[in-house]
Amino acid sequence: MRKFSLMLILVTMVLSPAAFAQATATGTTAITVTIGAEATISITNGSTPLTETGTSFTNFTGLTNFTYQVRTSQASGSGSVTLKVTSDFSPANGPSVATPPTAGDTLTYTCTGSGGSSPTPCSSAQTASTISSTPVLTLATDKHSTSPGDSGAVNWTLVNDPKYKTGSYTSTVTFTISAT
Amino acid sequence: MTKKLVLLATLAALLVPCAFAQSTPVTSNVNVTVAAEAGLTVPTDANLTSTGTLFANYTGSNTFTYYIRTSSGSSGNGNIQLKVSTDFSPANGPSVASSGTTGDTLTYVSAPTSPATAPSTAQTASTSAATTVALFGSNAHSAKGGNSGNTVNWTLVNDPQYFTGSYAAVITWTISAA
Repeated sequence: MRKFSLMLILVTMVLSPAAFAQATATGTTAITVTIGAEATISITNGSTPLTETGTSFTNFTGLTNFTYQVRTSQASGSGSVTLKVTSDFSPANGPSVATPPTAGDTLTYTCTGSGGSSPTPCSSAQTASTISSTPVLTLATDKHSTSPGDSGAVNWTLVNDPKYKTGSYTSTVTFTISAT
Repeated sequence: MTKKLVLLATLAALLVPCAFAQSTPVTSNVNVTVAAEAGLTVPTDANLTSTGTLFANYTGSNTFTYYIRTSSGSSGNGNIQLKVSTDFSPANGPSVASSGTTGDTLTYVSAPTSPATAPSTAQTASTSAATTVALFGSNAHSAKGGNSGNTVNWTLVNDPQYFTGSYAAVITWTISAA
């Protein structure tokens, strides 16, 4: 009888905590992500007016600002920002990148850039082209812009030729950023 | 003669109890105490990817199955929580621990099946505190085979500051019931 009572007590002791305790179970899993080279660019001012200031027939000038986010690879990575005149000035009889009225009526630009990606701006004034892309910024291996993006700018100069007929002319320039 | 009487008496003694015996039922109780209990199948790994526009956030999801029984009393309840038990590695990639200062958060939205309910807002995963995936009220019961089809949808901010490469973090899931 005493043996049975002892066993009953033991069983009761074992069961009672289970009846009121909090049951808990755990497990683990992994979250994986592969981060590759990536780049994106945004033109701050969608339209860049070129204006003439100062003396007569001074060149038209203007500024296009942009921001960009970039991440280049740790090994042999690189990046660049280039531009190309994808649509020449129109209507006709004004400035033209492809067929200027006078040789030397160029659309040229200089470049600036700054931020965490330590961009290298184009080293000298570049002549925009409708045929080929021209450099704006170059980026080295393992470069990273800030989270909101780094900034850059293109300072335009368009030769002011008296042959241009009066009027408003528009061209389209396409900026391209790439990263590997 | 004496010998015959003894034998007869012995037979009578054997027969009489049989002639008047009754079957007496004997009962034995089988007791079981059913307590609050919970289990969780460990989700498969979640692979986060960035799709669509450049520098779009990385997203991915987990599915899991839970088993639960909460107490029927007013104090019955349960929950599923998770915690980033090992931050992303190697270094120079995403980091949950430093997301408070960088803003590069790992967040999730859970969509559990009934009787579980989801937190009302997206949760930010943490390395220091467990965060809620699902909640259970009193007297909540899953199916015997578990309730499947529960999802956790992850979002990791895509920061240009991350170095290129592959990174992994470990998530510890905990389910409890009372």
